[in-house]
Amino acid sequence: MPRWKRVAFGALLAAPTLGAQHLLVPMDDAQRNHLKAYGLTYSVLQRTEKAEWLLNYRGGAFLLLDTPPTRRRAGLDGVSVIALNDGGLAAIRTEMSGQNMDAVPLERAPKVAIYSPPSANPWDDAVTIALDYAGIPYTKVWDPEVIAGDLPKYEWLHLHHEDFTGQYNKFYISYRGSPWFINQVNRTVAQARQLGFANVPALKKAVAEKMRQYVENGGFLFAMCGATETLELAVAGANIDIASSFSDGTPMDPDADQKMDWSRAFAVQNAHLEPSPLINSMSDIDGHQVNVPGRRRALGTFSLFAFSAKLDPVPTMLTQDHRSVLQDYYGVTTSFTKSTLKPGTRVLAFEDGLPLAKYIHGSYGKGAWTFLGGHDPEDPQHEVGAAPTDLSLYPNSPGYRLILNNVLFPAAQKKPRKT
Amino acid sequence: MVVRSWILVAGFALAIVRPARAQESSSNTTDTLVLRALDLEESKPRDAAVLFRRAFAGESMIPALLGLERVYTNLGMIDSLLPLLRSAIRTEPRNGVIRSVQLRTLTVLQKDEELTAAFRDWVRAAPGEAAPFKEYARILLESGRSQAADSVLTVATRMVRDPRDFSAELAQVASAQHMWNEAGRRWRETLTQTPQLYQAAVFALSQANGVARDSVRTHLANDPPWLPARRVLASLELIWNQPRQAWIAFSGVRTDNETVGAWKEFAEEADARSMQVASRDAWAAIYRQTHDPAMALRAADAALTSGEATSALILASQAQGALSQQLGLRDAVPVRLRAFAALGRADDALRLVDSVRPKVVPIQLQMLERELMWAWLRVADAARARPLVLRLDEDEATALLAIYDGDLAKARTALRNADASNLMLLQPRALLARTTLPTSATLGAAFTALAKRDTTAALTQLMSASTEVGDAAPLVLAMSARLLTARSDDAHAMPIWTRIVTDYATSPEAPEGDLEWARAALRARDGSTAIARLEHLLLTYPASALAPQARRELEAAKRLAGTS
Repeated sequence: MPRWKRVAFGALLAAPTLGAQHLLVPMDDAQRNHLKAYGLTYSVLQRTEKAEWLLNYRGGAFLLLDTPPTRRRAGLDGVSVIALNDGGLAAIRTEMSGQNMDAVPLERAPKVAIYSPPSANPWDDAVTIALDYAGIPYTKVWDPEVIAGDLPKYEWLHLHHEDFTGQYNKFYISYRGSPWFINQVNRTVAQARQLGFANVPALKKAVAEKMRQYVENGGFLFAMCGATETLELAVAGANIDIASSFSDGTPMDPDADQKMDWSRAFAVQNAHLEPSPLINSMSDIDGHQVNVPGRRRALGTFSLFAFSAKLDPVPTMLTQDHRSVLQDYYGVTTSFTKSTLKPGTRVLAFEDGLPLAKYIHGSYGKGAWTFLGGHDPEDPQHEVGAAPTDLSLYPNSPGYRLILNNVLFPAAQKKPRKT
Repeated sequence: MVVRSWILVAGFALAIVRPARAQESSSNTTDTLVLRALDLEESKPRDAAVLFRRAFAGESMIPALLGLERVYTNLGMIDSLLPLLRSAIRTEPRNGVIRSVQLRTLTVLQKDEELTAAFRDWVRAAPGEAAPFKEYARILLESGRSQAADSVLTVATRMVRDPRDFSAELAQVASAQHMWNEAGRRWRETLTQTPQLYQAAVFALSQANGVARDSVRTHLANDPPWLPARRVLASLELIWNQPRQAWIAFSGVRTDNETVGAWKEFAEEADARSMQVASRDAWAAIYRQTHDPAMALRAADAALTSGEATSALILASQAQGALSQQLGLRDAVPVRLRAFAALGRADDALRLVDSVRPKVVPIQLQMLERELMWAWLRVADAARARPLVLRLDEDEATALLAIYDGDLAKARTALRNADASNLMLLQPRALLARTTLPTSATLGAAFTALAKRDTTAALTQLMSASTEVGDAAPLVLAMSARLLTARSDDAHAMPIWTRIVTDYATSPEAPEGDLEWARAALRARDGSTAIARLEHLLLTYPASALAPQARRELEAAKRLAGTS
């Protein structure tokens, strides 16, 4: 065996023999790469090894078995780990028992699907960026797969800035002459026809309905940016024409606002649609209205709520972070007006000093959903055509942690929830 | 009885004070009181406060009020200002200075509700005026309440006569909120009206990072090319460590005296930031416009520092032609000489020194000979450098000559006091720190060959030296491998890098060996070997400074190999 191989092999095997049985992955400021730590934990679950999420302990640390593959992955990814023996672990558990902390077992790696068009740029979706960077595998699904009924194959479905009202995020107003927009419209119209729908709004509503059923039957849905608001509108307006004439050839039903069936929606009730096709806004659900100059609200900060780890583990998991106040960032939908939220909607983060929520969660049927406003936590203004975010420059991003909390959250479910 | 006594005392006091005041007002105006107060402000603030109070009652209310604001702040009794402010506002309700002092005072006292009320009162008293909004927004911004400032300015733009009054404040708010696209646009607008806010724009926009900088660049570089905006962009590029982009920021701007003035400021700024790549271009452009040889020399100097000796030589020669003989000898010849040395043109340097030898005084000649000595040393002409080294007795030169001679002990001694920043001594210094050999003719020959740019001979000597230098062997091997890698000779470099990684796994050069091995594998489209080497580097040398780079290259290697 060459000498370098002996050295490397020795280095890998040396650590476990020092008496450690566990590896603690701290998630406070001692962590060098928070985002890759999620990938490390996911890889442990993929190997069907057990892991624990130590809620509220050191920023939401992970506890893993000390095995050579785990050490190797941590070393390659630059993830900080601390070797623990049983005595050290017992001390941690004792400390946790008397505080607002709890240990949640993570049992299996959830199967992740991302709803994304085949032509999408990989950088145009914060979740794709986060999963790619963390090294968490996923499958892309698009309208044909959803309509064909593929969603129940997955435990976690992510949506980004798709417009489920079929109005192309009303970019028609500003970008109707841009080649990328024309291509997108042509592709989507062709897709709708191919799948037997009269127009794009009809296709998108059918897709939204499949997603609603997916959650109702036990799936977990995470949405960001414009997908949050438009999914709600598409679900509540399933039988109403809520699309402007540029997308389906007919104007919006003048009584659409009154006809919306909010009982079908996940998070929102009594919202008001934006009737004008010339105003780049969907409804009053979004509190920031970034694309409407007269209404646009400036960016500030948002704060994460603290929950009881022992009594309320799900929202606690979703809000694990090493920062509690985060810089806000725009998206087609940036925030959620509190007055439009249903009573059962849990606010996980709120916009400081404003009647707006940033991050919300709730149950629906047998499943659950989480909505996070904004497009890219490390690109506050994200504009069409902006350069992709290179996460190697933001390995400690507290905003991206919120996305990755959602990836591991289904891993904590004790029973499969598939239909 | 007690009451009557007080009345008597008060009456007596008035009888004394009144004539005294009358006397003073006749001899001292309130302006004089302010001047006296200003003199006492530092040394006797309480006495100054008394004088300011008296001036406040007279015709110098505003300077007295400002003085009292300073003095009371220093004395920790700023709340004493509030009654005076109320009285002043009753007298002059639209006066912006008084109102501003009131807002500042309430801010310091953290009386938020009264602050808001005072602002609203000012708005009512001065309808349509921008000042209340500007001042209040500024105070909110300074206290970190950018959202509140934004709201105030949004209202203001609807209430005042000319909304353009707020362009600077809106630009500040956009910057404070990190809305860089809007900040870039607003600062460009602001500079149109008030180009003197250039420094404020640079300061505010410099905080942008990542892709947000591109938004700022787009707005400032927009057509038509306009000097104030481009000037700000040029400064920003310097701050963002993009010296080449900095000078390009000026492209397209019409050249006139104002532009040349801006170029000069920029060149000085670039020099101050040690960004000679930018300052060289700026000084050269100024020279082309002004034909001032001093500018050519500044450009030549910057060119030399930034490693462009050929440009430096041309510029210095042009400058010498335009200068008097005396100034040419004093200022241009040393630069030309340094340029010759940097280019390895030692014979030209000698000819230049010989040509001016009769015309210069001894001290000048010594300076020129010093440059000549370094020219010989740079090309490792030990025979011609030696007499000058012995005569001028400089530690760095002595050490380098000893290295060429293979006298490592002498070089080690000379380096003890030598300037550590001399780049020519970087490698010899690293080598001497890792070997105790007193002499090595092979190493001397290797460094001589390196200086003469004879890489083939240098490689032979280095490989031979690697067997005799003990602990420094991996360093000597790495030197030869670097030479081969620079020549794109992976076939010969790879065995050496492999040897460093396998035989000297604990040496400082081993992580570099792994990285170069991986890079060579990637060049050969061998992704799996590259992945193996990079993973080895990361797992074996996790604390290496090369680890972050290795992680980035590992991602690229995985993409090449089609794995993740």
